[in-house]
Amino acid sequence: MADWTIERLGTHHEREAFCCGDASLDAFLQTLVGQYEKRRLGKTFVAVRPGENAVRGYYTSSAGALDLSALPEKQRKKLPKHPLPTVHLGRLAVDQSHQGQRLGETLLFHFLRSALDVANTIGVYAVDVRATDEKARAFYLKYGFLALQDMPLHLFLPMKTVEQMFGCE
Amino acid sequence: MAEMYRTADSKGRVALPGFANAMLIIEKIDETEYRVRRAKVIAEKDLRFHEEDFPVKLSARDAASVVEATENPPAPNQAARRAAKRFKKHHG
Repeated sequence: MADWTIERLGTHHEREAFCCGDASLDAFLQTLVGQYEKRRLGKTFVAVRPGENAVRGYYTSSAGALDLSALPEKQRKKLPKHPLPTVHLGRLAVDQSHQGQRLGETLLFHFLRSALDVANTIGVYAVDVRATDEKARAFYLKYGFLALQDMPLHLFLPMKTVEQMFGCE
Repeated sequence: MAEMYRTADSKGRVALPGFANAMLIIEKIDETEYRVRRAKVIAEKDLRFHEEDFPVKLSARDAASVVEATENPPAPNQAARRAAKRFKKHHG
């Protein structure tokens, strides 16, 4: 596994040349992330080589929520009446020049460990993610994420499962 | 790109064809070359991120599967266990 540093996006990071092969994920980092952060919709974390500022990969993390109101109340009596709180992985992308080096995996597990820290502070039931396409969906399925049936690009993982991954159960 | 000459008006403004309502980006390539690009301008109010549509409304069967998984969480698979181990080894 290559040597990466994962840190909060800052003004010193070089984002202009980032190219992951998905135009929407490239555009987000190059031009939209400022608005995203300004509105406090979530936080962006970037992977860089130690001592460098060029972004090689990134992900965004935010509070999420799953609305279970379609389910009869008696079937969710152990769960809160408001939407189920989650930690949401909004985007994850790796620059084409660094794909195939497990950087996507590193970013995903950085997110999962951070979600675990959040879950130790506030009530969170799961992590959830919105995959951009079938390839991304397969990536999450590989690590045991569960896909929704009616929204197949939306996947989740119970926080208890994440705890077990990191040996915290 | 063909060379293009434009002169500034009395207020020092330069009009560039095709650059109306756009942000102009002047990028230094090296000591002798600058590249002029344009970026489409989107009004802040028109910019929308999917996080602004939360909560995600689930169908009855998806909601049932989420409830089932949170009450009986699956054990992490081998790929996840191995990846978590690798992550801890390199990132503490």
